[in-house]
Parts: sequence; structure tokens; C-alpha cells
Amino acid sequence: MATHTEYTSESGEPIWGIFGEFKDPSAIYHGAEIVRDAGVKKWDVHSPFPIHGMDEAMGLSGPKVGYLVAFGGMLGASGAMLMQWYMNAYDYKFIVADKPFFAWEQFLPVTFELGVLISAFFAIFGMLALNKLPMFYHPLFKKERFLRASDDGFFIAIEARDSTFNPEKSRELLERAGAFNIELVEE
Amino acid sequence: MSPVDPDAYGAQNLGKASDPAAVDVVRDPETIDGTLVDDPSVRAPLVLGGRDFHSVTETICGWSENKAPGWWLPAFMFSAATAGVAGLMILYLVTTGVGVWGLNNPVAWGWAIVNFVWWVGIGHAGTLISAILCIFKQKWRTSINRFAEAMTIFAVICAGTFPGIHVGRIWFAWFLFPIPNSNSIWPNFKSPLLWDVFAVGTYFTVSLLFWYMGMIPDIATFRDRAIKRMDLRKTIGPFQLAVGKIAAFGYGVASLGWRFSHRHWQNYEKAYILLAGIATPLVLSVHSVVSFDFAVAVVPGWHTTIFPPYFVAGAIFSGFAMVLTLLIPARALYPGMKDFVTARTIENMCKIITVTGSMVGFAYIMEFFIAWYSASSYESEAFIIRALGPYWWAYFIMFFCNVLSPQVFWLKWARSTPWFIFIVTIFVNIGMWFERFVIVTTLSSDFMPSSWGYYAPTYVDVLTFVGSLGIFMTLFLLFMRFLPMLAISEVKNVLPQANPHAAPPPPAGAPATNGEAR
Amino acid sequence: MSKAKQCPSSVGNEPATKEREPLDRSAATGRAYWRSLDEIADTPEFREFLEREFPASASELAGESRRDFLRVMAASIALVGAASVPGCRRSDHKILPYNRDPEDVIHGKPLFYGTAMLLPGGGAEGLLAEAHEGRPTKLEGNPLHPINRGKSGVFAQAAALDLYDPDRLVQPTRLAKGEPVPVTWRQIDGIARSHFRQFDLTNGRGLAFLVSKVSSPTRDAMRNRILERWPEAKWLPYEPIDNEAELDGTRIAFGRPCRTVHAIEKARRILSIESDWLSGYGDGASIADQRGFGAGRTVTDTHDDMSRLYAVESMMTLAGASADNRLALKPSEIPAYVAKLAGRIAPDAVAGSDLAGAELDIDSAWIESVAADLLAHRGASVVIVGASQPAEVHGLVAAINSALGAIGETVHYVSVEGDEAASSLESIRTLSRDMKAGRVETLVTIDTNPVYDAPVELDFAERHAKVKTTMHLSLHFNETAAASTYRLNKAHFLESWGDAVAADGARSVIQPMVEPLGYVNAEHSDEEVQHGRTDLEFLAMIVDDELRDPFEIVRRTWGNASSLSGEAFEKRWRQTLHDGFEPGSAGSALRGNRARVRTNEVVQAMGRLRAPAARSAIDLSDVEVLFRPSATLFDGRYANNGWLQELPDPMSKVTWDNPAIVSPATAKAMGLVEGAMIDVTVDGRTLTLPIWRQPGLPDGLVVLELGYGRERVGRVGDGVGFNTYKLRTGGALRRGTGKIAAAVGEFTIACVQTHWAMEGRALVREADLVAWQKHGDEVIVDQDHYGRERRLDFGDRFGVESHSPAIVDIYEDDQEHHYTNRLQWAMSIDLNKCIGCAACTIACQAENNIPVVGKDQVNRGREMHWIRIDRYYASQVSDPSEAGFEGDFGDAGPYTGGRTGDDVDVLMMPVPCQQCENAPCETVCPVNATVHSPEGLNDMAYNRCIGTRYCANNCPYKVRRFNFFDYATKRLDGDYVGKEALDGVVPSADYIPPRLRQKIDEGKDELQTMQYNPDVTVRERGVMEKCTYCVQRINEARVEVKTRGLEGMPDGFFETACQQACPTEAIVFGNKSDENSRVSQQRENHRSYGMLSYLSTKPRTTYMVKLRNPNPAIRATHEDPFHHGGGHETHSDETHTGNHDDGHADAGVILRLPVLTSTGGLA
Repeated sequence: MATHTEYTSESGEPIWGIFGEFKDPSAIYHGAEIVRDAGVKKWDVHSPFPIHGMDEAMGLSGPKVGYLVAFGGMLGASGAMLMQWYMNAYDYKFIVADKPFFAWEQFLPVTFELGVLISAFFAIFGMLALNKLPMFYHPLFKKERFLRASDDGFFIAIEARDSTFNPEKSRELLERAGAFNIELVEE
Repeated sequence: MSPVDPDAYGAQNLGKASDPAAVDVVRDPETIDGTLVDDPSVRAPLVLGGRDFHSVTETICGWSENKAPGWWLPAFMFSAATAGVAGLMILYLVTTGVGVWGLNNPVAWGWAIVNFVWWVGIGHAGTLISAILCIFKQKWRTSINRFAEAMTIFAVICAGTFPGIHVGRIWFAWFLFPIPNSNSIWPNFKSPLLWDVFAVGTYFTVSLLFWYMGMIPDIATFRDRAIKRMDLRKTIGPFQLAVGKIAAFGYGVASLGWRFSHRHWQNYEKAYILLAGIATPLVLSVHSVVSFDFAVAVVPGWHTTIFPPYFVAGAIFSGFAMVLTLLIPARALYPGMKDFVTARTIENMCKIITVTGSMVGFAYIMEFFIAWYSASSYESEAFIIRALGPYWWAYFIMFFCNVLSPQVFWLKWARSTPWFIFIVTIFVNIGMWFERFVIVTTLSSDFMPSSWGYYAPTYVDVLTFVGSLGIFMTLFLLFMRFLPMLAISEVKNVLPQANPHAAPPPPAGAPATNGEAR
Repeated sequence: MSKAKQCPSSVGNEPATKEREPLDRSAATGRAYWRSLDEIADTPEFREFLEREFPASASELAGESRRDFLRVMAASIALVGAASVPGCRRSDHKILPYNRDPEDVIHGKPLFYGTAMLLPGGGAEGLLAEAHEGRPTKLEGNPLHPINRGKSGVFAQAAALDLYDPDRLVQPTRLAKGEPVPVTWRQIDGIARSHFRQFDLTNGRGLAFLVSKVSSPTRDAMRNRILERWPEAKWLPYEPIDNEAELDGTRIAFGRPCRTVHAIEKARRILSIESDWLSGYGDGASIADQRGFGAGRTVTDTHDDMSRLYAVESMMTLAGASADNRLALKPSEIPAYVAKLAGRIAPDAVAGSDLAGAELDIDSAWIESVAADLLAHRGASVVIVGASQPAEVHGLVAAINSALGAIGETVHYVSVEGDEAASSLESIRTLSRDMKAGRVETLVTIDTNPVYDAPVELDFAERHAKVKTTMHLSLHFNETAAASTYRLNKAHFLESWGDAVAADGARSVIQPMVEPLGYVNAEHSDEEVQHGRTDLEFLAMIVDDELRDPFEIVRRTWGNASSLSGEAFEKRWRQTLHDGFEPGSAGSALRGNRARVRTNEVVQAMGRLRAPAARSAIDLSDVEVLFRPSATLFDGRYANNGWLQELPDPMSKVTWDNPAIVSPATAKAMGLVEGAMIDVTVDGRTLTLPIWRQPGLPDGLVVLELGYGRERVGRVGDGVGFNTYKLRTGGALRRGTGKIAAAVGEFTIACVQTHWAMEGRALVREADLVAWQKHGDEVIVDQDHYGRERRLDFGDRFGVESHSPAIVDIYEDDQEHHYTNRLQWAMSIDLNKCIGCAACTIACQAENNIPVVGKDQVNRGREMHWIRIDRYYASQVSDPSEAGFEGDFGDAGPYTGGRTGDDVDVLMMPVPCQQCENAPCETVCPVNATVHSPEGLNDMAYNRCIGTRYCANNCPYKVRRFNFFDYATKRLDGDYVGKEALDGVVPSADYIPPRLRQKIDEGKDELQTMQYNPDVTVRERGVMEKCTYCVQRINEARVEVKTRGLEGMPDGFFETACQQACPTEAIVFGNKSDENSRVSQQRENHRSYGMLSYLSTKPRTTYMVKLRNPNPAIRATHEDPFHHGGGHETHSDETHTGNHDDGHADAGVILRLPVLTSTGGLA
């Protein structure tokens, strides 16, 4: 992040960005619309719970997790069928109750289960990967006020990396959006 | 330490409804509730007590942060001791042989499999509440899903124990997995028991991940509060500091650095709903596969196609009953919970119990018809012997508990009286155990009358089962103590003020929530 | 310390440092066998090794010690290796193996030696002993022997285990001041010499011998020597179960005692009078009789006739079970029945007899029609009478047989003399009288156990204690040994030379397989192994014979008896050893005038019998008591044989006990069910024992089995059951009168089949012969519900299969052809021939290392037999309620109340693994531990099995057996935990982990593992097991065929163990893809059917419908065994109710009463 830093704080530390607090979901919803319309790209909304309609208010496109899950499901299912074919019908054949070696009907339960399992892995770990989690350090965590995001605080944070960022202009933007307690965040 | 008693909170705000659409609902001072409205046009509030976001956090976190209630430690010790009994019994079993159980030649499966199916069935409610109700957007689920999911995990742990220990040579149980081995033999994927391994394994894994994923934001809340608490305390001693650090570190790692970013929430919500989507067929499949253990066999009384739906219905039935069995005492012990787990939530669950209980009852009766219609005397006699044979008493208990006892919920009083509901759920738990007992002991009289034999458990069977209850309760008590019992972020989400398009009502009498730092 | 007599198998039996216990019984506990490596290799390293878990950690033995170990092992193996008998000394004399190349001992390949086993009371079985590397593991019938012809009885099969009984006496002891003192045989030799010399002065007065009653020419010769030297000595042959009535009866009829030998195969009509001749034990039963019966029941096509068996008896015997018509009478009524029958057949013999005119409440057809039937088959009919009937009846039966022209055709009377002609009762009474009078100074008891089994009024034990010197020679430390001054260990017949005469006179030489097992007496620092002596050696020692070697003694007898000498004799002798019996030595039966029945004597004798009392209601204070030998322990001699203890009684299916058997109505009169205790009082003496109900018994009769309640026999048999000898007096050896009364308490009885009815299922299928003759050729072709053609022949038309659509195999059309190998194994069991004798069960146990689990485990339903015999009762009564069969589910017991007597049919069905082609067990095994071989075998891979037990649940035939505990390595005393060993150490054995427990038990059963068949895996706990069609024999045969360069697998090239033992040849095994094989032909037969075939399991084991050939005058025959007018095709549209697929269709309604016994067993 250091490469994007153009601003430093009074203490000489590089600035990560700026964040401001909002009163309630409704306020932050409208605030987000204002920030979105200002053309800010590298910014985020922090709220204790996902706010309905915020995707639109922030101008975000749809999440990608679905493709991962679909891929995981197909991978798991086809892998399972292949494994069962290999083990029971190719590598070591046993006559089991005079059934065909490749009795695919009887391989369906495991195929289904492994399909579900792998797609669940893709859903959860895909979600974490898309969110770049786990990430145990973040500049916002240093702000005591920010901890209220896990309780009842609603925040908008604009990163210094954003092309429109300017400590004063961004502060004005946040104020215009209805934020209070606006603070700069050092890296 | 939460500054407010989490359980006193609701009482202070008696009579205050927070849902504008339900403002005319007045809390009954006696039940501290008013959600049991009969008028379908009136929407009962989901959360009572004029809750704002902060008070939700305070209450739910308070249960873990405050000093443990007086009953907790004795309850935990008792449960842990009981779990220890299971450990000893399993040790005895493994060192001596499966013969320490009461199994015999016609009845080669006994209590272990009964317990396994029972526990797995119980486990189904968690996923059902989380996944299916989530898909159907049943918002009342938010207050109980965490609870139910935790129950799922622990029930599946108990369930998984039994097939693990019931095999004759536990040290070779790894043969069940497709692991390359010196015998060069692969498992037999045509066996329902192997399907079971995959189904239960998948089910446990997915449930665990689902549960954990749902908890990430709430653990992050715990984390933040742990950090704040250390800062607030001036007079903190070195021991408390260490404990606080450990807690903050532990919750910090477990929350994976969650920072409530909406960009994260977006993926998170999508992943959650997709998981719910894949968990729904999973939950239906798992008990179907468990039922295949019986249905795929040729044994009369087992070999029936009705088993998969009947098992699934039974699983939902028993799972909801077990959730209530846990929830009703928890609600009494943590009065604050009544704001979230309303009487209406409980009533809804009672209704599901009645529906699924009736489905199970239908299956019981249908089995007889099918057996008769099969024209196979082996089949029909298996069912006659089930109901009238040496295990008639088990069949009677099963029928009474599962089919008849939930019918009382047709009465409003019955489904709105917690202690009574509790008793009925106990009946259901017993009845569902006996349902599996009846099925397993069908083995005692199958094709060959010459080999018919009575099965009776030994003390080891009994104590292992009792011990599994101990394992379950131990894990549950730990959960209640150290993890968010209710889904904090989800509850906040169903508060009326969470809607960004509705003007928030003036926070009447609630502590100031905006502006000032606390 | 011996370096020459050692056995690596006994390693670890006892730490070398351990103080040896005083030689009481503890000396006989087996750990002292074969003092061995721990003595030679008395190094710390070696001892350490021994204390470890052998041999998994062998690699841990580092450097020096490991080499030491190998050196010691090599040395010891080299020493014993000369004998090629691990740990057992080799006989000094050449014994000739049955194989052609005796020199070629190929490791891993068993050798077979011809030998013989003496039967109690006379007779013998000719056997082949299978020895693996010098270790006898199994006994099989000698195919050349005229009696056995390859078959063998239950006791002969079980004798292999007796050899390795860890509780055998292992060294001589002497009782001094009440304490046993170990002595050596050398000392005994010295003592005996001086002791017996004193009788020279009295001509043997004061000297008595109580010996077992056997037919051994050499023993007879020894007897003669003894009586020659001491003419006044008493030589008293004695058996507790003897057939004296037969000897006395033939004395009446022919003027000389005779043994009755039947030629059943020639008999078309057989009348069995209170005789258990089909069981393989007692009552003069013989394998030849069983085989003959099987031959007479051979029915291949609809034109074949078959024999008809009538049974008139009290106890339900196997003969009664197989009978076409059975009449239940009290023992006291039977003489009257025979007399009445004689009135029709041999009127002269009953002239003037009260009995012939006595009232007998039976259907007159039983006299008129039976007599006519027997007479119509003159020369091809026979009457057999059992030992519990008085001599007069035996005489009369001889007269009847004579009148039927049976003598010389279907029955032979073979004259007996010497010991065999002696009366056991007379012997024991003489001895007892003499002892009481103080006329016995020295008593020698050989192979007898009078302290346990002498008639109770003789007070034998008390009088025995007064005899100054008592010497006892036997295998076990039994009750008599305990009471004797000298207790001497006898060699097992597999360890000793001897000879035997079979029932038909064939003479055999008993060849030893191993040197006798014995104990090195360390206290006497004597290197001599104190191994057992044969009775011949012992008698030679007493009489101071110039020959002391039993081999020489036997040879002398044979040389003296033979007309040959020199080279010719030598050749003959070798031939005898090789064949196992002397060719052409079959005995001579009475012929001509000598075979003429002395009618006057018979008439006179009949005059002594009185008419029976008229029948009345059940009077518990006046019941008849019948004593019979146990079907499994015989007179008690096999009480320490775990196989036999656990072998279910063929009728009651009870193991490990001998309950008092009464009819259901009698039990009802007492208000009792199985397991309740009753007091049986006979002659003022009372015994309390549990009750058991036996359908088919006359009311007011209690049957007591002898042979149980042993006080001293060993860890297996001690205290098992109830000693009924305590009620048996000399006057009522076989039957008497007494009273019964309910007593307090309950007793757990371990029964392997608690449910008695077939529930109307077509498992055992049965039809009358006329039905077969009428419908046997019909084949019905129609379409099943799925439109496929289906063909139903006679055997398929019974039961649910004929009108329920078969389960469809979804893979039928695209099936990969798995079973294309040219060898396709299959088994066919002809239910018409099976008599339920259980020889197959015990042969299988011996062959396949099947463990004994003990009473407690049997009671829990965990018996391990791979082939069981299901026994069902069925009733001729059409309405169960009319018959008084009360109750339904939840009733207090099976078969409560009800009529008894002749309305009960018994159905026997041996059930091994059916080797289903579509095996339900295989589908459900998650680890591929049970899969099919291309030859159609349902294989078990024990190594792969993890023990889910799912296969057992899914086996419709319930033939799978699970090792719930480590049965194979555990003690045989029925107490799995081994608590005796731990008593006093910990409060309960359950506190001891099994591994440690095993160490504490310290290989006490090691000896028994010597019996194990090395070709069969010994299964550990947690593993499922089951019949494999003796796959080890299949594989051996495959190799053999290859090495001999034969084409294919000749039919009958080898047999499974059960097939080999089956005396009636009901079991046929072979290659079904060879269409000329016997098994193929039987499968093609219209009588063949697959059990539960509607499940589409396609069993490879098929059954053949049982046929009965009843006399229509006694019971109406059923031409139509099928339902609804015989055409199954009319059924399909009818309403199906649960109960019309009735396997026992021709005979009315099957009892259907699944109920719960009061002891918790599902009945």
C-alpha cells in the first residue's frame, strides 16, 4: 500500500485513508449513494450486518462465489464417479453379489455427497479468498471508534489509494454524505 | 464485562415493541411476550423489548462475558463426568470386544446403531433451520439457528462415535476410506454403509463449516469487545490481563480479521445462501442414506422404499424436538433470550413437530399396508411381530410418543406453555429413539424362525448411550459459555431499524446510541 | 533336563523360574506339558523373548540375543525335527501312512493314517487320522472300513480334540496321607511288581479289575494272562451304559448272547421300537445303519420307491424324527404293543401272554396295518428294538424278525463272548458286594469311572474308599481317580497301539499318531517323560508280561490268532496297518439252526411281563422315568470336550446342559416352562434340575440324560449340568418310576434354537411320496408378473415363491458374466436323507478351527457353528386351537400346552452358507471383505474384515458367525473372561485388560491349538466368519489335480468336511458346470429347490424336498402338497394372506407361535 501513499499525517505516518461514522442504516445508505456518485472507487462501507440494498448504493456488481460453487460441485461429483470407477471397476475388480463392476447407479450417493462437499469447500473458502481473508492486520483496526462496527457503528472509509483521494476533499465528501466523527487513518 | 445485566434488559423494556407494524402488540406482563397473535393480518414482532443494535450486542455478548451463572459449573461437571463414563465404556469395548454389548447372531446391530441414527436425526434440525428456513426467508429462524446448528454439530459428533466404535476391529476402521493400502483393496462403493461414511462425513464437514462461517462476524464482535474490555479496565490484574489477551487472540484468530466490510458482506451473504442451497439437498440426502442402511438390505421390515422420506420426516421431527428441549430451559435460564426467541418462534416449532409427527405416523401405518400389499408373508409377519411380538412395548412407546403425543399441539394452550412443550419434546426424543430401536430389533425375527433370538442390551450399551448424552451436553455447555449463542448480526438484521428505507422510530427510552462514544 | 523331548509350541507355558506347584490337579492343568525350551534355553535373553508378545517384536531382538534366539530355535527344531513332529516324540515303531508314499512327508500336506476307535460297550469305528507334520488334527472315516466307508460319527470326530485336552492326566500320582505325591512310571513299575506278586499266594483272591467293556482281542488276551496267573482274581467289564437287554434277549431267543447287526439298506419296511439307532450313539447305533437308512431313502425319479419307517417310542429320537409314522407310547406300554404286533406276525411267540391281550389305547391300524405291511415285505422288513426295553421284548423282537424272514437278510445276530458278553450290572454289583464284604484288597480300574456312574444304591464311593489299594488308569483326572490311591495317566487311542473289532467283526489295529503327551517329572530329576500308558502296557506291567511294548503285545495277539506266519504274516500285518483293518475279517453271524429263535423260551419269558396300567390323567406323583445317554457327552466321558458340550442336542438343541425332558402337557400340568426347576424323585432320592418341554413325548414321562454333572473332569466339564446318575439304581438302569414336583428357582439353559415352529414358511419343504409320484414330473411354465417365462417344478411350487413374483435383478440383461469358470461349486442337501445326527456340524468344527464359546455366549446367541441343523416341529392337526396350542406372541413359552404324542412331525435342515450368487452379504460389506470368487464361492477375507456385522444382518439364512470376543484363543470352560484365574487378585476379571488376561491365563489352551487345521485361518475377535465350502480342500484338490495331470476336476475327487462325515450321504458337493456330476444331477432333479429363492439370491446350496412315506391306514396321505387345488397359477389373482404359503403344506397347518420364554429367549 505504501506505493500509493501520497499523504502523510501530522506525525509523519503515511495516510491509509479516511473514515466517517453514520448514525443508522438509512443514513449510511444515502451516504454511500453520495460517495458512489462522487466517483470514488476504492472505498468501503462497514456495518454490523449486511444492509439490504447496499450493493446498489455502493454500485457494486454481483458476487462471484456462485461460479466457484458450481465449479466445485461439478469437480466433486465427476471426481467421485471417476474414483469409484477406478477403484471398483478398473483397478481391482471384485464380483460383488454378481453386480456389474461399474454399477453406476450404486455410485450415485457417494457422487452426490462428494459433489456437495467440494462445492461447500468452494463456497466457504472461495468466499474467504475473494474477501482476501484471513487478514489479521488492517489500519482501521487501530481506530478505537471503528470497533463499534461490530456493535452498532456504521462507517464509510475511503482509501488513500483512490484517485479522488485528498484528505480535505474526502473529508468534505464524507461530511456531505452525512458522516460525523471523520478521522484520517494512518497505515 | 457487559455493563448491563443481559437478562435484566428485556424486563426493563417491558411493553415496548420495536416493530412499527406490530405496535399494537402489547407484551403480556405474565409471559413477557405478546407475539402469539391469532390475527393473520398482524405481524408479530421478531424481537421484543424495544431493542436497538447495541442492546442486542450487549445481551448476547453478556452471556459469555459475564460471570457464569451458578448452575453452569455444576452442570458442566456433571456432563463431563457422564461423558467420561462413555469414554470408559468405549475403552472397555475396544480392549475386550464387541461382545460386551448385548448383540447376538440375528441381532448383530443393537443400541450403537440405534443411537447413531437417533443422533444423526437430531442433528438434522440445525441444518434444516439454518438452510431450509433461510431459503424460505423465514426470519424467525435467526434467533434459533445458531443454537440449532451447534446442536447439529454436537449431535453429529455423538452420532459419528457409534458407527466408529461398533465395528469389530476399530483399528482397521480406516479400511472404510479410499486410502491406498498394502492389501490393494478398495472399499466397496456398492455398500450403503460406505455411502453412510461419505454422507455423514460430508454432513458433518459442511455443517461445521456452515456453523463456523455464520459465526465469523459474531466472533469478530467478541474480539472487538475483548479488546475494548482490556482497554477499559484500569485496575486489571495480571491474570485477568492474560486471560483477556488469550480471549482476544483466540477470538481474533477465529474471526479471521473480519472487519464488517460491505464488500465482504456481499460475498459472505452469497456464499451463505449458496451453502444453504447445497445443504438443503444434503440434509435430505443424509438421512435418506442412513435409511439405506436398512432399506437396501433384504431383511423384512427393513427393505422398504418408504424409508428415505420417513427417515427425513423423523429426523426433522426429532431435531426440532431436541432444539426445543434445549431452548426452553435455556430461555428460562437466560431470561434475556425471551426477547429474541419469542413465544411465536416456539409455537412455530411446535407446529412443525405436529406436522412431521403426523407424517411419521402416516409412515408407520403405511408400512403395514405396504407389507400386506407385498403379498410376502415374510414382510407382513415382520410388521406384525414388530407391533405384537416380543418388542410390542417398544412399538407402543414409539407410536404413543411420536404419533399421539405431538397431537396435543393442536391446542393453543399446549403449544404456548413452555413447560408442557418441554415434556412433549422429551416424549418425542424418547419416541424417536424407540423408532430406531424398533427398526433395528426387527432383526430378531426375520426369515429363519430357527435363528430368531431376543436382543437385550448390557450395562455397557446403556452407559455408552448415557455417556453420549454427556458428551453432547458437555459440548453444548461449552458452546453456551464461550461462543455467541444467538446470531448477533442476523438478529440485528431483522430489527426494524435495520431497514435502510424505513425511517427509524424515535428510540423511546433506549440508551443513547448515536454520537457519543461509550 | 531333557534336551531331546521338547516342543517349541509350548514356549511360554511357564516361566522357568516359577516354583512348580504340588502335583494335585494343578499338575494336570496343561502348563506343565512338554517341559521344553524354557528349560533348555534357560538364558535371560530367551526368557525375555518368551515373555514378550510372540513374535511381532522379534525384530527388536538386537544383535547377540537375536542370534542366540535363532540358535536355540534351530537347535530345538533340529532335535525335534528328526521326528518331524514339532515337540512330540516320534513313535519308535513304524506306522504306515495311508498314502502311497510314506517317505514323502511334504510340509503343508497332511498324511492320513488308518486307525480305529473303540466304542464303549463293544464295536469300533475304522478311522483315518489326518496328521499335519505329525500332529493329528482331524479324524475321518476310513473309506475301506466296512462300517465307516469314509463316514464317521460325532464322537469319532470329536476325539481329535480329546487328544489335546489340557486337563488330561499328565503323570502318575500317588495318594499319601490324603496328599497327592507325584511319582514316575518307573516307580509305579516297581511298586506294581512287588504289590501284585503277593496275590500269587492267594491265586489272586482280593484282586479285582473293573475295566471298560470293549472289543479288543489283545485286551482279551491280556485278561486271559491275568486270569491264568491269578485264577481267583475278578475281571469285571463295566460300562454305565450297556446294552444288556440285547444280550439277555438274544440269550432268550438263541441261547447265546448276541450283538444285533442290521442291514438297513435292504429293508423296505422298518419298525423302530424305542430305539435311537439313527443317532450315532447308544442303542447299538452304527454308521452302517445310518448309511443303510440313507440308501433306502434315495428317490431320484417318480418311479422310485422308498423305505417306510415306523417308530413306536417314548422319547423323541432321531429315528422318530425321521419316521413316516410315529406312535408315542410310554415305555411301559411298549412291550404290550410289541406283543400285540407279534400276535399278528409271530403268534407262537406270544401264546398265552397277558400282554398280547392287554388293553392299549391306540389306533388298531398301528397293529393290523403295520403287521400286514411288515409281512408283505417279508425278508425286506426289520424290527429294531432299543436298549431301554427289557430283555423279553428283545427276545420277542428276535422272534418277530425271524417270522418276517429278516434274520440273515436285514438283521444279523452276531455271537459275542468274553468281555463283550459280560453284564455290566452284574460286574458292578459283584464288585460292590465284594468291597462291602472286604473281599477286595486291590482294585484296578481301567477307563471306568464307577465313583461317578455306578448305580446309586451301591454306595460305590463309600465302599471304594475302604479298599486298601486302588489303582486307576484313565485319560482324565476323574471322580474315581480322585478317590484312588494311584492315579495313572492313560494314553489316548491316537497315542497308542491297540486293536479293535467292529460291530460286524472287522478287526483293526489302532495305530498311534503321536507319542503320548506327558510331563517331565522335574522333582525326580528324571529325564523320562511321564507320558501316558495304554491299558495293554499297564496290564502287561501288572502281570509282569515278558512283552512290555504295546506294539509287540498287539502283534503277538495277531500273530497267535493268525494262521499265517513269517513273511506271509508280515505282509498281512503291513496290509492291515495300511488299510486300517484286516481285509476280509468281517465277523460271522448266526446261521442255520443257530439262528433259529427258541420260541418256547420266548413264550416263557413273555410270561414274566405284566400288562401296563391303563392310561389315566397325568399324575405327577407317578411318572415314568427314562434314563438315556446324552447325545453329546454319551455316558459323561466326553464331558471335557468343548466341541461336544457345545454341540446342540439334536432334538432339544440345548447345549451345555441336561434338563429333565417332559411333554408339554406334563409341564403344563405343573404350570412350568423351560428353565423352571423341578424335583425328580426316584426310589426315594431326589434331584433338582430344570425342565425342558419336548413335543412328541407321551404324558407322564420324564426323560433324564446321563453324563452331566461331572465333579472332576476338567475345566470344560466340571459342574456342567446335573448328575442324573444320582437317581439311577441297578434295578432301573434304563427306566423306572418316580415322581416330579415343581421346585423353587429358575435355571438358564443355553439353547441354540429357541423358536420351534417354521411359521408356515416354505423353508423345509415336505411332501408325501404319493404327491411326488403324482406331481414330480410336472413342470409348470407360465409368465411371472414381469412377463418373463418361468418354470416351476415340484420343488419350486411350495411356498411364497410359487405365487409371489421373484425380485427382479435390474442387471439381468447387461450382466457381465462373472461365473464362467469351468469349476462352479455347488452343494445339494437331500432333506429326505438327512437324519439330523449333527456329524456334519462337528466335522466342520474340527476342519475349520471353529471355536467353542461356552454356555454364557451360546445363551447370548453367539454360537459359532458354520453348519447348523435347524429343527422344526410341525403338526398334523389342522386347527392349532383344537390341538390346544395356545397363545400367540408374548406367551410364556413355545408350544404351550397342547396335545402331544404322535401328532408332531420333526423336520431337520442342515444350513451351511448358501453361497448365493447374488449374495446379499456382499453388497453391504463396505470394505470388500466378502466377495465372490469366479468359481461361485462367497469368500471371506478375514484380514480385510473390520466387523461391521452388516453382512450377518443381511444374510437371509443367518449363517454368518461373528467373533464377539477372542474365542479362538480363549479358554474352553464356558467362562470367557477367565475369572477363575483372577479370583483373589482383583474383584472382577473385567478389570484386567484382555492382553494381560491372556498372559495370566498363560497359554493354558495352547495345547488345544495343536488341534488346529493349519490350512484354515484362526479368526481373531471382531471378524465375521462362515462356511467356505471348505475352500482349503478345494484349493488342495486343485493343486492335486494339476500335479497328477488330470483333466478338469473329477466328480467326487474330494469332499467337504460335512459331506465326508454325513453318514446318509445327504450332502453332495461338486462342480455344477460338469453336467454329469452328482450335484448337477441333483440340482436338475425336480425335488430340488433353493431356500428363499424368491429373494433372487440364487443360492448354490440347494435342498431336495423331504418325502414321507406314511402308511395310509394310519395317516391319510396327501397327493396335493400345494395350495388351492394344486395349481399355483390360480393363485395370482387371489388375495394373499400371510399364512397360506405353507411349507408343510400336505400336513395341515404349521404351528405358528413366536413367543418369548420366561428366561428372556425368543422362542
